[in-house]
Amino acid sequence: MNTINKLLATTAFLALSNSAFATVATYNITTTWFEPDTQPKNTYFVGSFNYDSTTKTITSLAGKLSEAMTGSVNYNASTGINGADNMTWLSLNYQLVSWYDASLGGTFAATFKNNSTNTFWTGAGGNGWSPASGVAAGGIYYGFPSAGANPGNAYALIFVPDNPLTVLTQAQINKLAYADCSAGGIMGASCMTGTSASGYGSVGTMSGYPLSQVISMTTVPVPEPETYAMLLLGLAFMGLSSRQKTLSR
Amino acid sequence: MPRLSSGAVTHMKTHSKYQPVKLSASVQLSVIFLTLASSPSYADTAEVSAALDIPVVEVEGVRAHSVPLSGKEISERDIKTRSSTTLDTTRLLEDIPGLTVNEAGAISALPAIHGLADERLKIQVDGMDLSAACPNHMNSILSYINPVKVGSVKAFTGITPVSEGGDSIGGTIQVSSLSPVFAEVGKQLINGSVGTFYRSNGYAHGWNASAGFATDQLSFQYSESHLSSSNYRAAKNFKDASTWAPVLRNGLEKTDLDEVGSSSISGSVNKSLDMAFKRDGHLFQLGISQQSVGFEGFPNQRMDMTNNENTSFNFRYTGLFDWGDLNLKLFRQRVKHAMDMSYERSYAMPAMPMLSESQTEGGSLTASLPFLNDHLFKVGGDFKLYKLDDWWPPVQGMGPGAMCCNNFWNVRNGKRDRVGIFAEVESNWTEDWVTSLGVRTDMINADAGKVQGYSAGLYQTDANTFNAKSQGRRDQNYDWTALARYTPDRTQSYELGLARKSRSPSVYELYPWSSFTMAALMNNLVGDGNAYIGNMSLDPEIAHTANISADWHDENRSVWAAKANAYLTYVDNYIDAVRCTLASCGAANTTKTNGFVTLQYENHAAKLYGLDLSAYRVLANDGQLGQWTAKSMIGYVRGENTRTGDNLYHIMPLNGRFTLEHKLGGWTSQAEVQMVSAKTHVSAVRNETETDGYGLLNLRTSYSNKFMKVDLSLENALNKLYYSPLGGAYLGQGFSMTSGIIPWGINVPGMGRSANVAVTFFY
Ligand SMILES: [Cu+2]
Repeated sequence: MNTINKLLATTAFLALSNSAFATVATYNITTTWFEPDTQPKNTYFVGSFNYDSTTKTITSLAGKLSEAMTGSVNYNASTGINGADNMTWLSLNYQLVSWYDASLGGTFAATFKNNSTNTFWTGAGGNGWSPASGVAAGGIYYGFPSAGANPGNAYALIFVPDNPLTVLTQAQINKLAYADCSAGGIMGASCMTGTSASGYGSVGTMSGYPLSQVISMTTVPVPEPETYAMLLLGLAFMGLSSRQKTLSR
Repeated sequence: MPRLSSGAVTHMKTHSKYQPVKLSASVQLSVIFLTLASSPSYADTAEVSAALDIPVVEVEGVRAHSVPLSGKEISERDIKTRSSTTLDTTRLLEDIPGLTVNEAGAISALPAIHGLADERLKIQVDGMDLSAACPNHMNSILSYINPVKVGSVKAFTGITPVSEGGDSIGGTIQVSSLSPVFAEVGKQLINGSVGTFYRSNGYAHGWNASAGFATDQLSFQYSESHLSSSNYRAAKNFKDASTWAPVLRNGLEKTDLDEVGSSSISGSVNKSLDMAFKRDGHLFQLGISQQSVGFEGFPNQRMDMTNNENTSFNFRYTGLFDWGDLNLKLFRQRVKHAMDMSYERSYAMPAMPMLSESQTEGGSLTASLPFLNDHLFKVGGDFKLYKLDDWWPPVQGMGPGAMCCNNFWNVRNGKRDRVGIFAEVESNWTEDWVTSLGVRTDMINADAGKVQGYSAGLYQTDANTFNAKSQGRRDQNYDWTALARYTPDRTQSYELGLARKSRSPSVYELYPWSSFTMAALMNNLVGDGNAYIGNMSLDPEIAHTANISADWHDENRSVWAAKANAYLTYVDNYIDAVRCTLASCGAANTTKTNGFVTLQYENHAAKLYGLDLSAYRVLANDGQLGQWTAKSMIGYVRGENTRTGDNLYHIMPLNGRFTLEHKLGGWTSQAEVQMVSAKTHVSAVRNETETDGYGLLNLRTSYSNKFMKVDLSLENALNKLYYSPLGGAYLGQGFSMTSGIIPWGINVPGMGRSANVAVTFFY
């Protein structure tokens, strides 16, 4: 076996061994909560995640959450974070929860500012972070009444349909939520939240509610099955041509 | 009593023999048409007279003329049948035809006359011309005097003569303390009272005490009252569990479904020391009063009063001279006011502290000079210097954003100074014809300092816009009034009044500047739950009013009387509101019909017209069975914005009160039916909600003798669930800093059945 064949074989092996990950793709996501009280600014979560279409699991959900009560100019997607807007953005880098919802046909995931889900006051029950427990707690921060005990957490809860690129239904949008208990999101003892009345029984503490979510393929591709196929073809073509060169000599 | 040397003729019956009354021609003229400014009317209370064992002679016939025919004076005696179980002085005004009450906190309701309310009226307590110092008008002027201390109420509901008005377009209300009591010459008088009351609904309770010492020239009176109440309850559950469940979960204490959240009051204390000195036709009065309220909830506001401290000094002088009389008033009032959210709105206290401080200095000088026998010339001037700071401290534990890191200045160094002068001639042309003509002008200077938000960013655009403009302004307003009364005989009189009245915008209409919903929601003077933004370019309102009154009665008014009053008012530059169109108010704000919205004050034009009817008839007067009297009162008013065609806000629909009264010995008993039509004319721009019609039954009885008085009453005896058309939006529970959480469309329900008892002892 000459070197070309060795190369081809190695490439084929690599492609094959990669096939275990072949269904994982990376997506960009922008989720918008409408904030009637802070117009024209809204709350945005702008981030990315990896999605495994075989197992329907979300990993590495991370991104930034805008604080609509800071700054004076709204986020503009075409100029990017802090391109036009002057809002404060929080980094949410800890995807701590995710689950599949068969009835809605998709996967939920929430990414947090802290490496902990502690967000809301637990005096009214609840798990301290879910939108429902946030509504029950009146959006009051974890550790209340001691302001010093507030860990200042924040999160965005997103939903990825089984086919990530399909447009969300209203029922799916209704379940999107965010909470911001960090310094810039606090109103009295209430965190700024965004929830829908139909999804969780109440709009957010500043009347915010989920408006839309857009998921797109990432434009800086991590190699995907097609890419591997292309690579394979390309290499095969190279191999063939070099072989033909050898033969014609 | 000051005596007059001028040749006096009086038709006024003396009502206390120990104080012989002689009135000069000038005084008599005043009495015919107008109230005698602040001239002292000496104690003619049943209690005092009874205590002195002096027979009481009623003076209704004369008293009725002390305000224009269209107006009304409530006598001390009538006030007394109500005041012991009433928490709020404004409630004492409800028997005045044409006067309605806009609901607020337990002691802070705001009166309206013919659909014009609050600062469109001139409201005075003991002659002090005050203004609220709060972006929600929580410390309303009449909240500064406890009902038990009220001695007289005069309401100019039709045409207010220029000598009693100024800088107001909708009439004047003068509430005065009990008049000073003096002893007979060479004697001393010690009097006092101790009283307590209880209202079953809300477990309201309190006590009051007064002590007085007087010689024939000096009088000292100290009084104190205390009041507390829990939330009151509506007659039935009014919170729809389906709409309220999420809100009940949202940061508020569980309350029963019939409990009106944020309607309690505690630590309300009034103290006052009144001193009077009289000598040879000169009367000097000095009043010092202090009020503090520890907490007062406001079910139709997004905040509650967490503290209010008011101190006032009030000096008055009245002198009767050969050439006429002279009145001088000087006062100063200081208010410290604090607001936050009650536990029922938020678990967190404090959630959003808001503070204000004001100082008002004012005074007036009026001379009444008779000339040519039949004429009285009144000339005078008054001033009022009002200063206001309104700031909201930052909240700890936050970062730059909504409520960090600086004071939010809602109104900084706010100022509204007014100086006015007037001249008025009253003429007694013939026995039948009397006229009054007056002109006045007022100069109003208003100003405010530069503002800032809690932090830059969110508030910067609005603050920059505000600060870039000049805040100072000056208005020169001109008023005139003309009244003519025709009294063909002793059983009828007719009065026609015409007036031009002006009012400059208030500090709270001019200067609140932030369009951020949370900030704008906190600037609400009317209890509708909406957010308001001031407008520095507002022009003064100018009202032209025509008012016709007729009064028919038997010669002595002892059997029957009927009064009708019709009015029509056009208001140029009427300050109404429009939907905010700024980007910061959101696109949906202009079209929303089922939610709270952000509004900005704007000059429009309005038309108000209506009718008041009142009558009484003695049905039976029998020494054994007592006196039975039927009384009725009907009011109707319509208010339209003639520029937009919209209805004005908070306009009372057709309503009536029908009372059967029985008097026997020391007992006075009343069965009152109050009927209110449905409110269907609602203000679209404010998303005002309609209310259904209703009828209420109130039962009252009162017994008094010279040692004690007992009041018993059963209000809303049939325990009917009702919503006052002027009750405002129910905002008493739930997170109130935002426009969307508290459900829109719920009105504040009225109080369910309440059994009240009050006992007062005199000595
Ligand atoms: Cu206030």
